[in-house]
Amino acid sequence: MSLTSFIVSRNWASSWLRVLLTLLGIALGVAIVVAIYVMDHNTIQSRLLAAQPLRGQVDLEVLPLRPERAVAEVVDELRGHAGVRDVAIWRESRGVLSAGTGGQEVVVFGLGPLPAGAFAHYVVASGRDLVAADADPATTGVLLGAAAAQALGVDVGGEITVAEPPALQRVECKDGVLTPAPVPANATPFVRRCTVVGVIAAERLGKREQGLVVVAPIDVADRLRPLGGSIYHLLRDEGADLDRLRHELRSGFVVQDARSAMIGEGADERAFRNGLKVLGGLALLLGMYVVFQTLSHGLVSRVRQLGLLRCLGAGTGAITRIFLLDALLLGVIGSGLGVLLGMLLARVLQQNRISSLGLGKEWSTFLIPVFPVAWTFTLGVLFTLGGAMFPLVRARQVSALDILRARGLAPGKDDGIDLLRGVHLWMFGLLVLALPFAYLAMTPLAAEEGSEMRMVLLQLAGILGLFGSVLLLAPGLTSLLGRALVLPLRPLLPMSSWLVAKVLGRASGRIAASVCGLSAVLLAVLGLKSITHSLHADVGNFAAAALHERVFVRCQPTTPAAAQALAALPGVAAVEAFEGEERGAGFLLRGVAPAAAAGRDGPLEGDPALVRRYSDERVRTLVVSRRLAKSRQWQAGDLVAMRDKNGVPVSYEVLLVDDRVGFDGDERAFAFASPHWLRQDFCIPATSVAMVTLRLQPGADATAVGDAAKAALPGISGWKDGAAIEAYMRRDVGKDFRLFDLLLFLMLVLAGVGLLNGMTIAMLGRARELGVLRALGITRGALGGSFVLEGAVVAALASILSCGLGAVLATVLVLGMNQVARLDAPVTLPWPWFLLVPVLAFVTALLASVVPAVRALRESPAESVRYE
Amino acid sequence: MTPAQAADSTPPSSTVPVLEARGLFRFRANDGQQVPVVRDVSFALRPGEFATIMGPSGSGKSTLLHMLAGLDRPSAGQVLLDGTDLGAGDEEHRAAIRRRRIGFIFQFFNLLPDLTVDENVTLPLRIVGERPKKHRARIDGLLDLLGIKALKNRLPPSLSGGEMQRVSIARALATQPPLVLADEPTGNLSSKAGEEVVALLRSVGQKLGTSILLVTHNPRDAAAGDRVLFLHDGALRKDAELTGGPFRVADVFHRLQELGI
Repeated sequence: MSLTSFIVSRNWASSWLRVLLTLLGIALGVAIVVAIYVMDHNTIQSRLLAAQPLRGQVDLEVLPLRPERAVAEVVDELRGHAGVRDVAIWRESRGVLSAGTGGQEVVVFGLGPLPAGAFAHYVVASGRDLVAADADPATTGVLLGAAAAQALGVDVGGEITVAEPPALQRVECKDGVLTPAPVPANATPFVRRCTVVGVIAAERLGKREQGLVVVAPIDVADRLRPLGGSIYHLLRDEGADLDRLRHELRSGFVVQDARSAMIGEGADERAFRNGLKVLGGLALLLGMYVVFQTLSHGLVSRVRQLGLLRCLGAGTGAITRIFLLDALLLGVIGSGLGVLLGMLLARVLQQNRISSLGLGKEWSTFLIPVFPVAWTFTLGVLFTLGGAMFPLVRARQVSALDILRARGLAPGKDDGIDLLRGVHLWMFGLLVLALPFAYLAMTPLAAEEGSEMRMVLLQLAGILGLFGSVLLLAPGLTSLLGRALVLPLRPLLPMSSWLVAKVLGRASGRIAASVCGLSAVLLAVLGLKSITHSLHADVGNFAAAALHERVFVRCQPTTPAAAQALAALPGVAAVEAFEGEERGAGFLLRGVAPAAAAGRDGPLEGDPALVRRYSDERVRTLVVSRRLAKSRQWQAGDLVAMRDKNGVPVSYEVLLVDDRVGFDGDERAFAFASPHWLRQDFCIPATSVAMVTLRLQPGADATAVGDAAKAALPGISGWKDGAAIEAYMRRDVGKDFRLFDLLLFLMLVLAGVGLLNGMTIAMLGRARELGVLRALGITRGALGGSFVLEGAVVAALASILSCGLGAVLATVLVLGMNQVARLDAPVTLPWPWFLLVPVLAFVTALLASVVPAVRALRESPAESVRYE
Repeated sequence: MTPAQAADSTPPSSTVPVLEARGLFRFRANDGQQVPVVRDVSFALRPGEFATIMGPSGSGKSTLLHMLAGLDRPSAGQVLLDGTDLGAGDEEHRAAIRRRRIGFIFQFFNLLPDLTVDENVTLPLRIVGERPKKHRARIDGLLDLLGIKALKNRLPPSLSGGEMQRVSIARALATQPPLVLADEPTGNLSSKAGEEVVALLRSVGQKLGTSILLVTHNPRDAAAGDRVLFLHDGALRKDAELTGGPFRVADVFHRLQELGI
């Protein structure tokens, strides 16, 4: 065994606690990040599968506002946008396949240009993919779904015919009425002879229509019976800002964001995901802080060994190898354990239906996001090596003789050799500067959610950086404040408080780092609680506008008149009947009669000009909810592009942003327009009312009104009380954020481990000093008490700092959440938590001080003073 | 070839002294002034010789020894090991010389508490890149010679001071260096244990042909040397040197009285 591996293996065997705590620190930090990434990745994948199970990888779907534009021109324009990697055209049609006798009706997916490549709309099971030459009408090549190939009895290389199915009577929405579309006279059905170049697997497109599908060049689909217009699929460059792209395209296209559609208009879900990622970063930071504490402060306990090795002739190369092997093993094993633990944690989260979109939301896949997991592993290893660099540099700087001469080697300038001189700068550089940037580099959310997210993260990093820099770069302040805290305890605990005062003066850097670690978690607690309190306040505001004194009724489709009859029920002040429902533009649009919108407590009440404009049958207007407006960044006067039932673009003007009318008891992102326009553009039927909101008279019993409505209107499937919905929303906020509580608890454990580590290693460095004190007769209580008191001082300092900074951080966090998640939650400080946070700090610090206290008491005074 | 590699590979020559100090000076700063701790020390140690340097506390013994071992650099003068200038290279060069040619015995033993006796003894072999297994028989013989073979699997904290110093001697001899430097090796031991350790050191040195330089403030230890040098206020008193030892303790005392130390 070489000297390096011999020394490292013996160190590991003899300092198992140091090794264990270091591994625990790395593993916990890495595990939390890995679990978050695996959970988030699979939550998104599962949502994608659930929402679009039969589609490939598409970032944006866009439709030109002018459908008559030439395809090549549109493609060129789309490709010209910065951040667009690839563009494909997609069209879905019906057709009939035949290979000899008989025919099989199938869905034909026309794609262009060929091959679709990166979009991965399908997977070729046998044969080859489509190529550009397959678009030639003379040698058209197609791919068959497995079921289609089986039904026709053809395989790769076979010849088939794709034909237009017999003409059907088509209808179109004309002046609010569905009318038969004219059929072109003497039209010759389209037929094309094609070669089967491949068969696609039963996944994505191949799974549609039970495999009765054909993938063909776009011109084939164009000439069959289309099931809609051509859609342009976009893939963005890695890391391209989707928000910016969407914004740029909005002027010429109707933009459907596959990801935002998947995440939905659940803005709180976006906040939730972002919060998780930020917490992941914090976990990694804390994990690395533990490692750093252990490795750098561990120098003190190992320095005699290194000094002796150098006296015996070991060169700096040998010392370097010992440090690097030690750190590399710690990093690799710790990070590896962290990855495994993270997977395990992710499994537990999956089994308990905890997702990155909240609790109780299942995710079905368990895919490993290779890049973030590998990057987290790499960060774990790199920062462990970084943590080892400091002791290595110091060990090389201090002469062997100095080490052997020094009697009281310990972290502190009073001990002759200040081994930890400069540790704060190193820690600041690595943990406050390098690690957050490295984490941001791997966080796909920052790029996915756009520049706003980055800005918020920068603000957060700024606050924490400022906080960290004050603590780490000026540890003397911590020492001063700590000694001031200890001063009043002098009469009560003279020996313990004297010892702690000495430690504060001598090891101010270590104390500052401990305070920094603990404060980071406490700040996260306060920040999180600010978010939940603010979300609760947001629910409260929404409830006051849209829920209070209302009953929300669902019924079988009925007429507006029948719904209005409910106004006669006792306790009912007014009725809002939602006439029709349209989701084609990516949001929920309903019809609300002008009378309801302008009625008592309605958004248009008391503003005749608005009422006139809303009722105007020449101008399309709509009222949007605050959440939808915030999410789409709409304000009064903006034009909203949509397509009517015939696929013709129409524009609605945003008249007002208001929540008071239009909520159906479920979705807070909604809009409503005059029923006239829903009939005109979307041909909603006469019996279109399936949701009704009953406004109650003051003091009316919601249950009695709900029951009476059920009895009065046949076909009511259920009703909800506004107060019950508010209670549900509040529960939902609390329930979803319980995951954060779990993560914060783990981080508190990490911070505690860091504190424990620092104190234990410092204790080992002071073993001789403590032994002498024991030999001189210090009581066990005073000695053990000094460690507990040191923990208490750290807790008190962390509490003071985090509560002081908590209010600022909370404001930035809530404003950031509003900005990123497009919410409008009022900044609400969680005052009870400002009292609870110190309790958490004290419990953590006191528990962490038990191990070093016990270790110190177990040191034999006789052994400590035996030779020197 | 780097100086360190050269130091590793240069064979010792019997025609030159194992160790030679030439005009060594060492100054330390004291209240802004450079105060000499070692002054113009010159002497040579022959192969196989057991010499002792006797001097009271604060006479500069340890500083001199550290310079001779390459742990400290002289302010002026030269240290030659088998004719090689110890100050010619950097710390790496001196470390290479130490690991091959010098065994060092400390007053405070400096054994690694987590390593067994055997592992502590074979540690220098690992440092020079040798496998302890290859030297098993020789190491066992050395442990036997020092009377600590039965302790080979014990950890240092369970040993007595005398036993620990024997382990320290064994460690110093593990790589068969031509020179062993011992810094007050009995300073932490009882007089009986100290006597045994010095006797052992002398006999082992004779058996292995190792040159030994021992610094001490104890006349009894000094008397065990073939030659006794007296160090006073950082300077060697050449006129008082005793040769042809070992001596009686009284001879050393007598000489000390003559010197007024």
